[in-house]
Amino acid sequence: MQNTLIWRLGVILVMTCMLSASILQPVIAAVISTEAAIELETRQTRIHHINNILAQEDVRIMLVRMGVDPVHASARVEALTNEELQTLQQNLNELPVGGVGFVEVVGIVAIVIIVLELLDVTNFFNQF
Amino acid sequence: MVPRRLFRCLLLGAAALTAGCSFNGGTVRDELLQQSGGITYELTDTSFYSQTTDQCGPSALATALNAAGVPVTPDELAPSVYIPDRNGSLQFELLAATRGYGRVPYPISPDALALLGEIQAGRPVLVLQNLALGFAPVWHYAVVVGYLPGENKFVLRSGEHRRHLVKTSRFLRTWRRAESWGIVLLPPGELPAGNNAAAFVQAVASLESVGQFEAAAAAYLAAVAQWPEHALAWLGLGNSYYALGDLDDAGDAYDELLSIEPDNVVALNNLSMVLADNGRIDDAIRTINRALSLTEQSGATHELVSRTRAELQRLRISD
Repeated sequence: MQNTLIWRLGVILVMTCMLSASILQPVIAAVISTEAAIELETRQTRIHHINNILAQEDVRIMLVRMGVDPVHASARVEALTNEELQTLQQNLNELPVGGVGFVEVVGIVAIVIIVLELLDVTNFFNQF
Repeated sequence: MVPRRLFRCLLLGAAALTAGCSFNGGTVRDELLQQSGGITYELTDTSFYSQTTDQCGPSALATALNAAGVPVTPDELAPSVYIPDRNGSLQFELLAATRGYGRVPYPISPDALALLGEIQAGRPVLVLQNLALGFAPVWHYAVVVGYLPGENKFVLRSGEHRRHLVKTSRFLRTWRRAESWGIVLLPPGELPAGNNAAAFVQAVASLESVGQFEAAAAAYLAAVAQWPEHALAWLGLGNSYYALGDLDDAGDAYDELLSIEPDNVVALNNLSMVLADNGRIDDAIRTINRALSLTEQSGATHELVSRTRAELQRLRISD
């Protein structure tokens, strides 16, 4: 937790330096990317940029905490688009993680369905 | 009078409920039958990796990538998509890994006919299912490879089963509980079934935004051939060429876009960059001035265009 905080402060510090430097030095123009063009009218791109860096680090830390090898975690967050990163940063724990084994499926489904069936909540077995 | 009206309402409600039920079963089946023309579609060549423990994400993804011409195994994919402590894989990471292999991860429309359409076009569909219930979900990835109208069943590569047959109604129920999420992995230059230009261009833009410019350019080229009026596809094509250092083709793409939408500020901004890079600084400044005159005084677009203009003017002075 503390690492995250220190990292965040560091990022904010670096970004502040970069932004003030960009005011003093000649501006660098760039081609407006297709992704930026899609979202251009709805978001402030500069603030957005900082948020993306923070999201990338947040998601990376979350993945490492969930057992992902730190060596792979960095590459994995870099492979995500900004929009995906923002969503994961906010909802990673609620999103579906597909990966159940077949035997496990049969077990869980059977127990849940049988209980519901006994309670007359479902009428599952009559449908097949 | 009032009770009778109430009774009629109840009857209507009951009719609506019945219609809802038949939509889940009968109607979809009829539509599938009609679209398939009663013909069996099964992509029998689709590879299969028997799922070990909880690794259905890597297995399903390897199957779908193989079908898209990428020879890769679940073991090779696991470090990129598997999350050990959650015993599974996130949808976004399947998309990300697909992009990493230069394939376009295209989310199909969430309905059975779109699913069948892709199978008819020869592409297996990687789907997410919730095999249990909304409040007690059991998430599972599988690959749909066929539809058997006679038996009214779908054919899946799923778990430990190479040819898993599931009744249409049962499959659709588990699929709907996962918001009917399904993707096809398109080799660059291949378009999805259906005719959804916006969805395709959005999928390609995700490839572009992670630096897969060559694959993106090929996919955008196919898009503008199919939908020549789609402005964003031309923009994406121009931007991909620009990123690859191909200024001439980038300029041509922006010109095409401007012939469709003469006031497209982003195209004018990007074209001015191409002109400047080609040494045509006066044309570049004329173009960026036009872009600036079309933007509102505040807002992100104005800021970006102003920045380009400042840079171009600095270039002219240093000349």
